[in-house]
Amino acid sequence: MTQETALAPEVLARLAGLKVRVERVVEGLLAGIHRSARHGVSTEFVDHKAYSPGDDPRRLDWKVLARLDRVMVRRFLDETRLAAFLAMDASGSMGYRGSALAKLEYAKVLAGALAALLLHQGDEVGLLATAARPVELVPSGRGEHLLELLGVLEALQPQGPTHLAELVERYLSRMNRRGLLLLFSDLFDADPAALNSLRLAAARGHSVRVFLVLDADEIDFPFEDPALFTCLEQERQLLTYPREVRDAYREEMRAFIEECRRALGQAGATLELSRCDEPPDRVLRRALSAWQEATR
Amino acid sequence: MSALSFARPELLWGLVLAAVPVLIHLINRRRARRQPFAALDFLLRVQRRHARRLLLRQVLLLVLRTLAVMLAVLAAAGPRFQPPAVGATAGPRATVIVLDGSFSMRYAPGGRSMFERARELAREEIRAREPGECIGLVVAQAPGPRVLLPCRQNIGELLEALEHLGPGNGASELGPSLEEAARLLAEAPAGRRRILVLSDLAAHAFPRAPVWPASGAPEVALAELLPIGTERPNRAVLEVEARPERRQLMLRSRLVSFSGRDEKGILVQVGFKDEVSVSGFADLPARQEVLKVFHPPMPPETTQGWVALRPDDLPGDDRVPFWAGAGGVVSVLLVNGDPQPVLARDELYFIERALAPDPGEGSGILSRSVAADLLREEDLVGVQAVVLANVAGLRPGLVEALRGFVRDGGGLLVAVGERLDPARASESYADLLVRPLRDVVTLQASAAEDGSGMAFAPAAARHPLLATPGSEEALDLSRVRTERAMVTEPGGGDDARVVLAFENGVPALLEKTLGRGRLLLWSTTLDRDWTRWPARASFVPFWQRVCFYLAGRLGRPAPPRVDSGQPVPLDLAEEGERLQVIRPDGERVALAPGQRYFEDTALCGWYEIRTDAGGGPREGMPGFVVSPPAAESDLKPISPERLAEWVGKAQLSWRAGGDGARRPLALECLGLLLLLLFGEAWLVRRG
Repeated sequence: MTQETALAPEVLARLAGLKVRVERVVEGLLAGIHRSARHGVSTEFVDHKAYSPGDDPRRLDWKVLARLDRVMVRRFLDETRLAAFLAMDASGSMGYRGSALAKLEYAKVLAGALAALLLHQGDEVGLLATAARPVELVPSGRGEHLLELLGVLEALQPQGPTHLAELVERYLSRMNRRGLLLLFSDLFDADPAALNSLRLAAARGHSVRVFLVLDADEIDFPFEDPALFTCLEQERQLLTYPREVRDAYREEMRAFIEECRRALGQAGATLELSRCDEPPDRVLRRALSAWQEATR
Repeated sequence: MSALSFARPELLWGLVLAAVPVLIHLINRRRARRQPFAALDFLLRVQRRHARRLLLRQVLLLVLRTLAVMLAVLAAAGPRFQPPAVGATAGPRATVIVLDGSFSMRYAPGGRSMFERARELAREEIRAREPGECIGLVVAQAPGPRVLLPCRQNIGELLEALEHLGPGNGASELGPSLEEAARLLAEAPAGRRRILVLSDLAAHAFPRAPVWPASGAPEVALAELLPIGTERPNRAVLEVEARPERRQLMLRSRLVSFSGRDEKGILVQVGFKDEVSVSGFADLPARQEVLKVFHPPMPPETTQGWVALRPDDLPGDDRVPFWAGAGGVVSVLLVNGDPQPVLARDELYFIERALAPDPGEGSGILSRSVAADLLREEDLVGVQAVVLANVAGLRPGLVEALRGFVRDGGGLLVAVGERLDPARASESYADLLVRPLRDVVTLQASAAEDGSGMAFAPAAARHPLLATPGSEEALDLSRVRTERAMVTEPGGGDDARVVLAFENGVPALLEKTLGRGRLLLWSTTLDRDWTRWPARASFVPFWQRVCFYLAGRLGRPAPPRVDSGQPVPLDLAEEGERLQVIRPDGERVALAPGQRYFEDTALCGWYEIRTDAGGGPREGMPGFVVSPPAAESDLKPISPERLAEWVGKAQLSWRAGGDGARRPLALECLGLLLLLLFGEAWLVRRG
């Protein structure tokens, strides 16, 4: 059995408890993927980059300037502690289960694995969640903090409408320094303020990473027979013939994802599409690579 | 005017199935399962944006599916299209359908008879009539056309009448039928008049052209039930002549093949009832008659037989019945008028041995002898022939019994001799003698011949008694010599016939019929007293033939044969006799006293005549054979040129054959159905 197969959502769904699932995913990930996701001021040299306006003149490499007549800046590993918040969308729509794991379950695995990684490299991790009662766990770098965090994550239940804007505002109010916001959501929020608040967070220097968690059914719309589709958050329903609307729906969904990606990109945030039928470690590996690429 | 009709209109009830797609659509809506879905907003947006297109698509799908079901039903119902008539003028139309009901319409290539094709076409014509069109129906059949219905608009009666029609067994002339149709059309209030002829167009149906009324000839539309150029091979047994030959039958059958090529080794069978008696093979040259002769043994009981060819597409003329009569042993009563103690001198010595020359072989004759003095009326029971050999006289009671015996079909031979007194015999039973007897004369040999006695005059082989089986020559009696004979009163005006005479013209054997029986008079002795014939070999076969002849088993005329639909002359003049005819279908028809003709000859086969008193077939005329006219077996169609000439002034138009007078639309329906299904599949796949 390959590692990927072992981490398939169907396999994870059979494992009892979020802690076990997270451990399995982290084991797969911890193959020396990174020491730190962030570059900054440190004594350990990494590489050079071309100078651009705004760079600290103290980091100019005069020797390179003298030898090659090129203005280069030295880069070092950041030794500062990173404060990260896991922001979980636990609205009703995250409760949809089309495949082995419900969207929220899948998001919990992703969030738990990332928390383990961050704590493993000495960062602090906190938790925010939208639920019937707001959930909040202040960032901490203690070893036992992971168990506490996984416990709170596991207790989350999908319920109620989505309030992403409120979630981001809570994050901003808690973080008085630049930090990392990891948002797990399907972004099915009709409120335009949600995207604005994400832009605001990015503008304040926070790293905003969004995991767009979608079930395969929501992307591919594989239904055949006529069905009465009912909303998970509100009392709404629609009788339709899936075969007749499939293409239009797929187009609508594709446009939505692209729009999210474009809007977040403009705001300096990144978006990682997470299909619930994809092994979580593969999603995480892809996301981490993208972040590394972006910070170079 | 163009019209749409259906071969199986009852299937149109299936159009109610067109509601099935709508019902399925409604049921699906009601039975739609609940599906929780997080991205409902997207679905709602899509639904709002494409609402009109989706609705249109659903309606289109429903329409396509409904049309597909309707087309499938229509295709199954066999739609046919009647193209508009060329040169049709305004005004209501009157049509008379002339349906050929002749025997040749039974021809069934491919298992479907021409009559069935014609009737189907007639049904379609009636169903697809123009608005206001009135239709009449005439059947061309033997002996003449029959108007089934005059022109009318009520098609129910027409269809009902068609249902009960069937092809006949006789011939039909289309000329008189078209004249009758023109007469009906003249009475109909219509602007356009048309005769639709539904016939196999066999050439024999066009002997005489129709004479059109002075008001003008109607349009004549012809349906080509089978393309005129198609070969129509047919074999037939035209006629069978059956003649009893002692213990055998001589069957002469005329066979023909109306095919374009020679046919070899065609099986021919002869049988009685359901059993085949003899079989043979015949080579039939194209369109030539062949005579095939069979000699089957006579059946032991009175019955009918048949000659049959291997059945073809017109089986009605492949088997022809004949009357076989009765076989079995002929019982003869020999009455001895001059018994002698010395056996060789006995009056019956030679005739008894001639009738049974070899007991082991059996001649087919069972003779019994009785002395004239001991003869009683009861002795006549169960015998077919009586021989009075030199009998001096008869009691009046015996004379009366013998008279009745002959009238009922028995045979009586009177042979003269010394003991017979001519005057007394002529007085007491003159009607049993063929002619009154007169004197005994001596017959002298001619000067050129040696010996005594006179020979017979040369005889023709026409008489069955003198015929040699299987040969055209007469029995050789040239060496028979006779010394004495009894002359008869001269004839003239009586119905006696001289079968054999001596050289000097004195009759030797005379015959006459009495009632249904036969009388023979032998003017010399049966022993060697007056003639030396018993010493000759020809004596044996001749007198055996005489016994069969007397018993009606030789030279009996064959029962008459007539064409179906033609009357049969009945020669049954027997006073007080009540008769009935048993038709081939078993139905009995009583004959009226004095009825001269029997006209109900629609069925082909053997018609048996019986007396009301019961018993077997009537002696003399046991029945008659009715068969299809020989010309009806020749299916060769008339040429288009001859046809155009035949209709004369009438405007002639051609329609397609029985299956194609209306163009079938089933293929078009199926093509359209496929197109609809393709469109439906494309719409479904397109989503």
